[in-house]
Amino acid sequence: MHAVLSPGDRRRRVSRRVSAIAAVAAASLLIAACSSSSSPSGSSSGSATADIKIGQIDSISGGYPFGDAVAGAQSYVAMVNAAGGIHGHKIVFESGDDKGQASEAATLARKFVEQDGDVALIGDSSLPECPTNQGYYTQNKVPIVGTGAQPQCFAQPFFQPVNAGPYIGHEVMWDYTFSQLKPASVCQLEQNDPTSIKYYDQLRAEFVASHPGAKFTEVTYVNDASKDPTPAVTQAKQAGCDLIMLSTVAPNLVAFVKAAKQVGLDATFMCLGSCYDASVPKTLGALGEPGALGPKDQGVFVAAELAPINDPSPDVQAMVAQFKKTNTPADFWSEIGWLSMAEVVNALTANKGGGDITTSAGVVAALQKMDPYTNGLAATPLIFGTAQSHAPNLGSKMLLIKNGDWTTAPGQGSNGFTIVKAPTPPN
Amino acid sequence: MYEQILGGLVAGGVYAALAVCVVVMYQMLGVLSFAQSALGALGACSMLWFQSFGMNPWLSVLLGLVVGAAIGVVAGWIMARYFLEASVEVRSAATVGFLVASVAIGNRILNGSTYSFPDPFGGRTVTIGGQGIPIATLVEVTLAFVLAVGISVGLKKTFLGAQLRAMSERATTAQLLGVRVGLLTVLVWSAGCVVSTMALVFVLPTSTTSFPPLAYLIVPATAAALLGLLQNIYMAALGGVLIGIAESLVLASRFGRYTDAIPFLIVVAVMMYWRRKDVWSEAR
Repeated sequence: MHAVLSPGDRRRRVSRRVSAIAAVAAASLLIAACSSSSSPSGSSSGSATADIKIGQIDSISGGYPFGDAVAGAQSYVAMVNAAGGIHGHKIVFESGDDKGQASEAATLARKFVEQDGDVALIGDSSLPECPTNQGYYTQNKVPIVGTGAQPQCFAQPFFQPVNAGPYIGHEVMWDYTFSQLKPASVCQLEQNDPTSIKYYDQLRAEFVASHPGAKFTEVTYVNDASKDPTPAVTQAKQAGCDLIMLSTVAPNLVAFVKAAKQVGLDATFMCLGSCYDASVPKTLGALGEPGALGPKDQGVFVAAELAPINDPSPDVQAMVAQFKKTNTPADFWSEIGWLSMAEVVNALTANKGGGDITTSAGVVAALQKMDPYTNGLAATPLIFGTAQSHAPNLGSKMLLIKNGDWTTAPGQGSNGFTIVKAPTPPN
Repeated sequence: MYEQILGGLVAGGVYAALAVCVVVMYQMLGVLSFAQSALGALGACSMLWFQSFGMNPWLSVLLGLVVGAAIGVVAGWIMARYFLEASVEVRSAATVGFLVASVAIGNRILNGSTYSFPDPFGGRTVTIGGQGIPIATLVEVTLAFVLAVGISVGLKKTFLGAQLRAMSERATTAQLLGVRVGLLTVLVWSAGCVVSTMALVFVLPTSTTSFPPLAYLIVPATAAALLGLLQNIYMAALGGVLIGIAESLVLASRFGRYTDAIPFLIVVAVMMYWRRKDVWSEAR
């Protein structure tokens, strides 16, 4: 039989119980705090064996398969870790697919930075990331080195693109077309992307105003990735286009050239660097050679934002050799992943900022104080620095399919790149 | 203008074949399959593998159709096993799962690189008024209508057709009368996937080799099927061709950047026509 407790005894028993619970809770909090401060990902003390945690956000299943950026970055990480890491710190790399959706890009950024403790995002190749996460990255000083896929990527203090970007890519295509190829009629098939149409129109108008003789017969906006290209090439044939500029990806470029052959369009094709893929010449076969579509066809050109994989420069060949070891496909996206990681590793190795490179602050300091990084993949040296916006890669290499492979098109600068001035910011 | 009309037949032929598929599956199985073009694309992707062994294009295509049939068997088994008694809405929603899975797999196969699909017609074209049109397109458009006729006749004149019609009217009653509803469900899915694989076989040699655009061909195909009110196979086939031509004509106009809205406008127009006798506040 239980003894009946007096009110006073009851109060004392409850009070002891509450005190015990409070003590256990306090101890738990103390232990958790000590654990997190000693974990490598968030350490400010930076133990000698702490890892450098890096993330990457890509649009893979959203219609633009940028997934090879992951493979390119992973290949570089494997090489660095095999050599002992950066000053003994191994790189721990993770990636996420935002499926081309803003909500996913936002979720992934927060997960990587706040939950997983990533100190930087490297090689990001995502369409919604820059517009969506611009405020978050700026406010939290999250350093990113990756693909500039939207105008906002070139207008943030903590995002540095390694590629020239579609705007410089367009300037290079226009410059090369009107100065070297000089076709009678030029048409542009532009992506029907409302976020960039206005800016492309502005840049085109400025180019035409400053280049006498430059004239566009037709500019059409089309979601070519989701539609059969036959109507678009039919319209180009009716308009009498001798050269057609595209802003698309490699599979669509191949589809356009094949459709052109079928409808009887005799024209030169030119595309942004996103069309570069080592498989294109083989897939097109004889159709990719100059003259295949007719006498006006000067060939299939790509304004490669980075050097192609058959470029003889030592940096490119070292990348190719490592890609072979890790079975990494060689294309524009894997080059982006590789170059982004290479630039950041270079900056962290030099560590001009003097901070702890296993922390975000230390990485930011190292990137902001880095010396310009020269790599044969890029037209101009890359640098993060302290500017409020970054666009260090100011050129592209015009490539032409010849004899079944990509070759450097004639009439360019001494390093094979065409370098232009940075485009004026959007109005 | 006739060049634009001819240019629109390439996409129109695919939409027509897929639309016939959509209508048949809706009528026979009570399911609006949102995954039809994605499943067909998976079957078509297998041709790349067969081609890598040096097989001739026709054999690669034939084996691709066999793979398409096998994919249909799997999809049909899942639907028969788990969704046989479900409503049309639930069954149709389930196909979204097939679509998502197919796109995830397809993106890994067609990973942004470029591929040459086997072309049984060798890229040959006929020239009409100075405009080249692929022989594959002409065959595909013809085949879509031949299929529509064949299916209509088959359903009315054959014993299998009678069983399928019984199943579509009252599945449970048919089953009690000895109709093997589960087996017929798998058969229809398999045949549907063969048709959708075939629809893509004709266009893949010259179309983009990114998977999502191939999977989302179901959108204009469904709009075409709606033009037949999901009942009339011939209207569905014709609707597919007309949508392809309309897209081509609109692209050439000053409304070119709104080409993608055409299927949506058709869906809205058909829905408004279908429900034209409804009273506004009837639901309340």
